[in-house]
Amino acid sequence: MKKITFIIVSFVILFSACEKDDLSGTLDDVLYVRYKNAEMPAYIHGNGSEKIFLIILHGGPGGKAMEYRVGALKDLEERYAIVYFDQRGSGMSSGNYSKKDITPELMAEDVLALVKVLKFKYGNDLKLFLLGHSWGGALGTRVLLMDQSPFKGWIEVDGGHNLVDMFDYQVTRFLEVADEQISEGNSVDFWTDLKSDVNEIKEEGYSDENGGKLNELGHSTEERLMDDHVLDDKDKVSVDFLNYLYEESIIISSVSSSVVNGNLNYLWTTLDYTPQLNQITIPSMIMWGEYDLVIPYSMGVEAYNAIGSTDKYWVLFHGSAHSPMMNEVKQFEQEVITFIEAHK
Amino acid sequence: MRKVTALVLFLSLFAAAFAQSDVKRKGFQKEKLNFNASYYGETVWYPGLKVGAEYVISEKKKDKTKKSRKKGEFTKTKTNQFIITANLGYFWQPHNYGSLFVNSAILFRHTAHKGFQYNFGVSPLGMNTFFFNETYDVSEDGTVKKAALPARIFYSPSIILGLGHTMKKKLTAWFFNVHITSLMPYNSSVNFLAAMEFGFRFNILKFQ
Repeated sequence: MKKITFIIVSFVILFSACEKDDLSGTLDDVLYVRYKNAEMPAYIHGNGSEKIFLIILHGGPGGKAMEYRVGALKDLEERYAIVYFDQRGSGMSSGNYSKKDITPELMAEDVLALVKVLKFKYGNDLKLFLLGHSWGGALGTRVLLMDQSPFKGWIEVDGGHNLVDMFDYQVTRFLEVADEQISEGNSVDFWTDLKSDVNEIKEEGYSDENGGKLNELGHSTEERLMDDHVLDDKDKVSVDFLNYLYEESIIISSVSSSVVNGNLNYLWTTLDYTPQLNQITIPSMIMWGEYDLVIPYSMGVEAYNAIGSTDKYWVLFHGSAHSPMMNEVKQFEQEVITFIEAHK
Repeated sequence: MRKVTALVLFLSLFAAAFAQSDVKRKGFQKEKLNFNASYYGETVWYPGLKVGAEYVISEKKKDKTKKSRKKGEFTKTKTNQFIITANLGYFWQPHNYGSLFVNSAILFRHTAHKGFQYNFGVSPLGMNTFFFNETYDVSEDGTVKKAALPARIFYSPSIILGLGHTMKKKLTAWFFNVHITSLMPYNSSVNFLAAMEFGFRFNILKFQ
């Protein structure tokens, strides 16, 4: 009888010890969060030994989480567990819901559901940080306004907390950069033409079409700035397309992304979290590329000034555009490490 | 979307009605029943397997007499067939899910004199079930629990285009097909799968 009791007790101890996943090795997990009629995958890679998890909110709307597994974020996997999360309607997420169900509020709830799942799987003592890039900056802001208590810190990278004023910020910055490049003698014809195009768009004012044109121009001018060595290309990386092709079904993720992007177009005339940013009080780091013409750094200055946290940092990457984590990889990585180590 | 669905249904009903008369007239014939097995690669590289059965419901042969210096007078035969198929398959997207699918299609197949074949068709009846990797359910009150068998079922009509060639031994043909499958409903809209299939057909009579 004693032997049987011993065996039962041993099994109970063994299984309760295995209840939470072992975080001593390298994590290479994919798990789905099922919440309000959607299944959303989170790809978790990296070092979980310190229980520091950095959740990445991709851009878009309609970006793909695994496109971010490159450059500084991939390098950060050596120190921390990085959580690449496909938002509702994006990447490999699936579900069945109506268009009106895709709102920043519900997408923010999804992120908080992910937090619950991570804690359930890896333990309540996780140290969570949130990083939002581009559209992910807007979504991350919404998450924090809903509930910032699970997070040790917030990192916004070229984010869009104020989509309503983005058009004006973009036009101003395009004209500034064009004048600067013309005066420096870089691609003068290109910048002169671009200046006249932007002035034309400015005259017409905001429309979905003009917003789309500026967005496209913002991305395409990065190549020109790179060719003229205005942007830092010494450790520039691109999306690891082959790896991405293997990890996500290109057709599913591309179709989903274009649908969700179209569904959220209305946000460019309604979304402005600036008046509420003072409610964000956790340590925050706002990082921006000086030559970002998609979301200019004046938007970052606005965020930095308005955020309510007393522990806040402003980092401007002088050789970067919209994605400093891919242009100035080493500096980006170091800034994130310094921030996380100070607030873990 | 409605127009496409209506067209698919119309084509299927038309072909089925056209073919019904032939089956009724001649009854079930074993030589018209073929089976197939194939590699089924979703987006080419997500691996899968598919097995199926197909039955020729209508067949028309056209003979043409030709003359050549080498062969003299000879007959060229072209065959047009309407075929119904039933299929079962599974493919695996290693990071996200495994997908079990069943469908039934109607195909038009043309076989040229030397055995080259092409076919096209529609599958108005299809179902695709995604079985997700490790999944956690989060309820509105914040409770989390691990899902036992997480899955989502999609209505998945498809179109099929393909080519192949007849074979003379136990296998009756090899074939290569492309399947474009829609998944409905998917998020707030639809989505698509594109698969390439390579396999062989065989007739059970040849193994007896």
